Amino acid sequence: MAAPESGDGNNGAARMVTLISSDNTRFEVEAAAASLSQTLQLTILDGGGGGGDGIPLPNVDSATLSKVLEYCIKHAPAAANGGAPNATAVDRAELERFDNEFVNIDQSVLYSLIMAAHNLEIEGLQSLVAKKVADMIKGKSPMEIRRTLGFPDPTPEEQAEMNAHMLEYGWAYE
Amino acid sequence: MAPPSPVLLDEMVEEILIRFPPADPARLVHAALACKSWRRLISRRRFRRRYLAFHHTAPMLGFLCNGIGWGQSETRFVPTSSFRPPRPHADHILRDWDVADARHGRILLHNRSLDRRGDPVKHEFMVWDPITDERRALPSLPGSTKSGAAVLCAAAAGNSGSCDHRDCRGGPTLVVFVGTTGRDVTRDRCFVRVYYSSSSSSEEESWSQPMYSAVPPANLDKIVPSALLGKEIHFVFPYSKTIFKYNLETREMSRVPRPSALSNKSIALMATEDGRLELTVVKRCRLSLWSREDGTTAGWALRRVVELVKLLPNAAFTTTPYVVGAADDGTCIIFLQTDDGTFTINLKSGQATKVCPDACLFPCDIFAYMSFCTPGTIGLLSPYYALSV
Repeated sequence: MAAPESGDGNNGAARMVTLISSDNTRFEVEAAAASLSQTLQLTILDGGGGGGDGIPLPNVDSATLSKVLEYCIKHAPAAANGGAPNATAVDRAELERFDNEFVNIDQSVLYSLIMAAHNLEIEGLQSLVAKKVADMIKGKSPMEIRRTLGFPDPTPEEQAEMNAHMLEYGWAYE
Repeated sequence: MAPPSPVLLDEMVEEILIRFPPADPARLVHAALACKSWRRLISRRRFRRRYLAFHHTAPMLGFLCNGIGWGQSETRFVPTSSFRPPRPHADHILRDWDVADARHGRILLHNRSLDRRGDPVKHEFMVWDPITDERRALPSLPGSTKSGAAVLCAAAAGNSGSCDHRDCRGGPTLVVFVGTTGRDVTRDRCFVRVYYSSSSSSEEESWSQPMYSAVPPANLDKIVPSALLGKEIHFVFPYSKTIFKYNLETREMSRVPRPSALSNKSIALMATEDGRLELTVVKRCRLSLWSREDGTTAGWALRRVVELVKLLPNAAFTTTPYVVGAADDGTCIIFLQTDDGTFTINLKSGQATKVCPDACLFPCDIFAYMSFCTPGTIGLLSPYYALSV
């Protein structure tokens, strides 16, 4: 389907925009979904991204972008309702189920998503992935946190500093 | 296989750490110890400011009570979170002092020397912050048999700007002392003395001269808990028919009659979120909640009755449960002492939680300690460090 001319997306078929990933893959998506990104919103309002132009996203690869857009497409209707005060409990439960499944992914994908959500300023997605990482390190000791997040093992100096702080915060280890 | 080492921007790490629950401060400590850059980030002022804004209401980290009710000589800090006061200082303090009040992240400790007749010769007070372990000793006051004392952020009096009390722990502090000139109800009078402590300890500070009122002394024999509502601090004296009220701004004292039916000792005062004064009374197995309504003739309206048998286990009713305290920050949490231990009841959600399994010998007042504890408020990751980053 060809995208309608940019500039007038209010009537008829939903206005589409094209996003171009760092590895040059083109994604055609409804403007409403892409506008969940604060970064893209202004460009789209200005009529950008329509027709053959496309908006290049040099910081986001195609695998990550397709995942980001999956989120945006799912959340766009609720966002259009202004946070959906009149959404039914069923709708909300469905979004929640989607969110839970959405972040049930490989850690490397999760990190790419964190960066993409940050660069594109997609508030809901930022919050969702941040909460997922917070849950991943819940109840873990400093060393376990390092391992979970793939930090390199501490140098002897770092280890000594950690030990000193641990003594000081003895109460946190009761 | 370990995932690749991530390069997360500080902004993203902040988004993650900000979601750690304030009622479990140990989690932020663990994260702060995990790596240097996280440590630096968490102890920044900016992080603390955002963390407080995100979570809004300070959690209950624990509560304090004078150990005598448990047959102990020491005051106890009973944790309801992963936070513990720094040792061994806390042990030392709690051995030597009684708790008189707790509010706005500050704890008011009290000590009185008695003469041979058992009358107090002098009152000593100290304001303690169990998170930073900062202590401020106040000049002692001459003995007064009947007394109440409250600690609060000085901004609550309205003369040093507004404050949401989420992060004012080190700032100017007020201590309000209410005493009586003697035991004779016909002749003696109540008085109030106020101590203002600025944040810098270099200034010479002293108690205000006593302000006497026509209010006769109430019949009390111990320091009583207080409730702050707007600019008015209330003291409820057991067995008395009235509630003593002191206006921090106008410096006037007055009395509020208690609901006529109630001369019970099992009683707690609190301020609600929408700024009403509420009185919780437990009689037999029934908790009734009275609210101060100016329009009504009696001045009080019975708002709610809660059947405790629906909330507490059977073992709690060998003798009547006692209400021994209330959180003073609009969270509507009250403390009940029973034969089965101490419980909190959240009057909004109706949820009861056992917070201490020890049975008490007789009821004694409980003071909730609500505060945010983030690394950087103590020790090596000290507030001074936070200031310099």
